[in-house]
Amino acid sequence: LVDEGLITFSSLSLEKGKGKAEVEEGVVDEELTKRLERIGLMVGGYIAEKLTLARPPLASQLDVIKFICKDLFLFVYSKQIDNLRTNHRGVFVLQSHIFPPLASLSSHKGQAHDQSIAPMHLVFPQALIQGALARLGLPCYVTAESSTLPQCTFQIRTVKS
Amino acid sequence: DVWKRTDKVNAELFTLTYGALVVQLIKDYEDYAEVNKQLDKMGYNIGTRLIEDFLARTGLGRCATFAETAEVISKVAFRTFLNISPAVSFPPPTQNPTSNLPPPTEFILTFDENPLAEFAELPRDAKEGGLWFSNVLGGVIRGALEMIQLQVETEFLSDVLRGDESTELLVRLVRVLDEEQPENDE
Repeated sequence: LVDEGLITFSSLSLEKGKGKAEVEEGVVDEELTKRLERIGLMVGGYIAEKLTLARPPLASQLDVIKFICKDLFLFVYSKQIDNLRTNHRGVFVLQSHIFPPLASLSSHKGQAHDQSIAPMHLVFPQALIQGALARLGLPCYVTAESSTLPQCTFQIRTVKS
Repeated sequence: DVWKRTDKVNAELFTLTYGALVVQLIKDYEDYAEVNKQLDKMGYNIGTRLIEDFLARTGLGRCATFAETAEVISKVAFRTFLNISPAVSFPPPTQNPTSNLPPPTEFILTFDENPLAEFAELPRDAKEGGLWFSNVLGGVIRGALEMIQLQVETEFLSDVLRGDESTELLVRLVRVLDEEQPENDE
């Protein structure tokens, strides 16, 4: 096990380091989001593969989602998802009351600023879930939002095939 | 036992994330020398922040010699953050043969295990291109030490990923920076 701070620091440095000649801030953010997303997708896929290696196949869609809520979240964030809801038509809502990546988010600029940078910190987790689901044969779109820190809601919208 | 107190994150997750980051960098720059540079830069940025966390957590004081600094980096810092403890060795001094026993100004960290490279395997292309997969570590040390007035150079000497027998990182002290008072600081 390695220290949690490191991950936080590395994502921070990613933010700083990505100065590849873009001048406008908006462009940097966009590029950064894209990169974080790709890294998340990749890692999500690997983890899904690792965790499903020694277990019976996941039968239904709900099983796959449950696997994400329990096993994957336990593996990545050392805690499970707190609440899972579905409309039984391919949309799942996952809720975490205290989402670890957001738990330590705080700056001298105050609550409102923290809230505004929260989406940046959710890019990676949301790509992670999407990548894992894709690898498990469940292509979908995942969106994450946080209305009040450190709570977080993921919405998984499966793609009809 | 300071390292036991904090929140931990799954090491495999960390390893996979770092691997994906390197892959992404290679895609972006398509030049291994440039990737090395970027990893080092990222490491530097991490190091400059990490040192604060480290000092706050351990409450360690000033090291008397650079040799002591080396021991602290290996036994405390690496243990705290990566849960490994690379071996420290001092290469025989090459210059200044005048003084009979100069205090060491460089040391080598030898990594028996490297959590960053746990699952990694370099394709031949990357080996020939001169990629130092774990180059971020050198940057971290450089950044962290610079914040405590030690200017160092770091350089990987060998890496098991490249087919070498061990993974070695050389840290060389360039100079001790003066503690300066910021301008207009009242």
